[in-house]
Amino acid sequence: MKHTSHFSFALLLALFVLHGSPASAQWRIGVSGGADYNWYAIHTQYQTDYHYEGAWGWNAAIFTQYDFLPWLGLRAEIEASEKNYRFYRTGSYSSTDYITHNTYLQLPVMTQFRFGGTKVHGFVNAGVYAGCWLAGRQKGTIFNPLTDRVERINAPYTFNKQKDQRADFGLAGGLGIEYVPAAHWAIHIEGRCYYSFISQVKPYMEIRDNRYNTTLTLQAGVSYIF
Amino acid sequence: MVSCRPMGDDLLSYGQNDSQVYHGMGKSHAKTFTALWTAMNENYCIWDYEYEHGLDWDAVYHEYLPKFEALDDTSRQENPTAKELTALYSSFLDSLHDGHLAIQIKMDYMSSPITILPSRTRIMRERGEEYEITDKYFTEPDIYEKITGEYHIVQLDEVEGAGFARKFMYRQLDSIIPRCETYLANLEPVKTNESVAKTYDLVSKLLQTALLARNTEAYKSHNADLTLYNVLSTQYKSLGPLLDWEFVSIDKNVMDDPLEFLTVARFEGNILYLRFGSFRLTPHLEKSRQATDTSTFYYAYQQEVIRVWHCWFDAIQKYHAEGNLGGVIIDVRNNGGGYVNDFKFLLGALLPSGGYTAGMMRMKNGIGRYDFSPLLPLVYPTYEGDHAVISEEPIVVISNVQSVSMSENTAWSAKTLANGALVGTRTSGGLCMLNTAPEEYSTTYSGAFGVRDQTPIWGYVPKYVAMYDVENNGEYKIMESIGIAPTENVPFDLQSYQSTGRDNQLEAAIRYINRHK
Repeated sequence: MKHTSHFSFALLLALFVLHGSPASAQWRIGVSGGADYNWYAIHTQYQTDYHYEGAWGWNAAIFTQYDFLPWLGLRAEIEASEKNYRFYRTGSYSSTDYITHNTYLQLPVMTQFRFGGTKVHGFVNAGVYAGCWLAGRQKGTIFNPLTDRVERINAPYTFNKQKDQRADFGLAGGLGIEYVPAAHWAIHIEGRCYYSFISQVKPYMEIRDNRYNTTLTLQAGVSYIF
Repeated sequence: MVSCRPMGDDLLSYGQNDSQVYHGMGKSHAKTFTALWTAMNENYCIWDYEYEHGLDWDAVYHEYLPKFEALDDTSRQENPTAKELTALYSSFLDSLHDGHLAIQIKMDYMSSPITILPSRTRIMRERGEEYEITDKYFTEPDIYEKITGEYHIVQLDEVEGAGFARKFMYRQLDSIIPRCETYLANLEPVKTNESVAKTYDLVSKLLQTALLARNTEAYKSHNADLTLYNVLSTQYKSLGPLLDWEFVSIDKNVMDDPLEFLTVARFEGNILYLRFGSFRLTPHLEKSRQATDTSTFYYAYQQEVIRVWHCWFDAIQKYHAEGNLGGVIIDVRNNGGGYVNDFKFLLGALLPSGGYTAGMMRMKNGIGRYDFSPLLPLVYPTYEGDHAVISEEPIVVISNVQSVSMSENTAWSAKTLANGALVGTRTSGGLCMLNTAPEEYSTTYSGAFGVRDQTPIWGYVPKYVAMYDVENNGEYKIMESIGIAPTENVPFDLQSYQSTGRDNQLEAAIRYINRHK
């Protein structure tokens, strides 16, 4: 019974969207970019002085959007995004403190719901994204107890194909405000969250050791409305 | 949503002797195997290297767990013998390549633990003949004394922990023995007298023990003579006033100093030679670690070590300044390694201050099998005091199959110097480095785990991986179980040694220097 009601609702929504007036249906393309902050979820086990913290990065995207209705659109992006995290230790190894910079290419596909006036309105994006890891770099300092030296590092991360997961997939959702200053132009700012469901470590060993990214972005963009 | 992101399995730390972690483990073969498998998974530092060599550690788990579970089957009449259990563990551990690796398993029903030494097994399989020869002929520190022919020793200095202690012991015994004899001779006429009989008997026993310690050649093995002397000096201490003698025990730190010996020689042509039992000079030469109580036996011994090292170092500096240093030989044959910091007092004493970058390294860094630190420069410490750098005169390291760990890292470093060379045979193949103190596990979280002879599992497992650009192409490689190949391969000529006493590897090193100076 419950399944039937869900199906009916989806069907009605689809018909409603597809039945939208051609006058309100329009394409837009645009670019956006901004800063992001990524959290790295990891079980540090008994390593009590191991600390993983979020770190800032950047993101840039080109997007296209088809608005079925004045309040409803479908948006797809191609986005380059950093998902960085900081690793540091406390106690006697406290000079170990470095950031792992990971660059991803990802494709969020989201439904956009708009509300408010014609010139200024808010919007909510909700959807999913798929991505892949492109490159990594580690920067910071490491204490080497063998040589009793603090080493400064700034080197590319070597991808380990047994361990490291290249693919990424998860939920994408955002909240923003758009301003339409002219007939064909709009600018927006948006806060968005990418919540990954795929562990960045493959199940490469008998012991499960999953680690996930959650990325909050703050971006601004401009779009051209055809 | 939480279930969409399952996190890691909860793991226990096997690093220290945690009674909750190890409780009851020694009763079950399956539990012990699982703990070992997990501890190795978390701590072993070259799993990627093992994978390249075809090892699937998960497959080991799936294949062997049922075998160990079968051993726990209560319907079995008997537990496996030590030999059977060793064979079972060896059947998968022997494929590992780390050159230091030692695993100890201690089951409750066994009187003593079993130990698996994969690197030893590998060496014996691949280079057993060479190993046995070096084991037999390089145990004596004075092998260089047998050098004959065209090369001659001009100067010789040596200190050896047990030897230093033995000299002291001989002085003590050579003094106490005549005192006892005189005392007994004086009491001889009245020895049946009840009032002196007991003392006479006691001094007689002291004399017998002293003579045994002094004259029994076989007791020198494992320093049994020194141990006997220490028993004597404690047991008969009360006789001191009677014999007008103060019994002084020998410091065990001297008897058992893992440095073993330090030998310095100067050959004709001002070629300075250094040989030492292990890389354990740091406790003696590092000022912050030196003994300060000048009245102790250990202090006297340490001063002797310092003096002998300076004989080598100062002579190099002197002849270099005069422009007639022939070259330097560092002999690491049958040297099992030791402190990284020792580098500064050995090869590093000839190099510029500020450290010598020999290659790259990484640390095991986390509980995941492939959790490694970023690559770091592998910088060995060099001598910080005033000294001239030996950049022109040849520096030769001599190695063999029993050159392990820091010996190998020194061998590699010498090979990379413009004026350096490695002579002898390929090293053992155990270049990774480790810290073994269980208390350090709470900060290192990897490497050696468990406590030897105490916990059901103990692993002598390195944490630091040395990686060298062996092909000079910018690729840093792990050399475990391979070792460092010499610049000049010179196998030890046993026949020549046995018939003439000549050490052909040392002679080859001297010839190399004479050709290149």
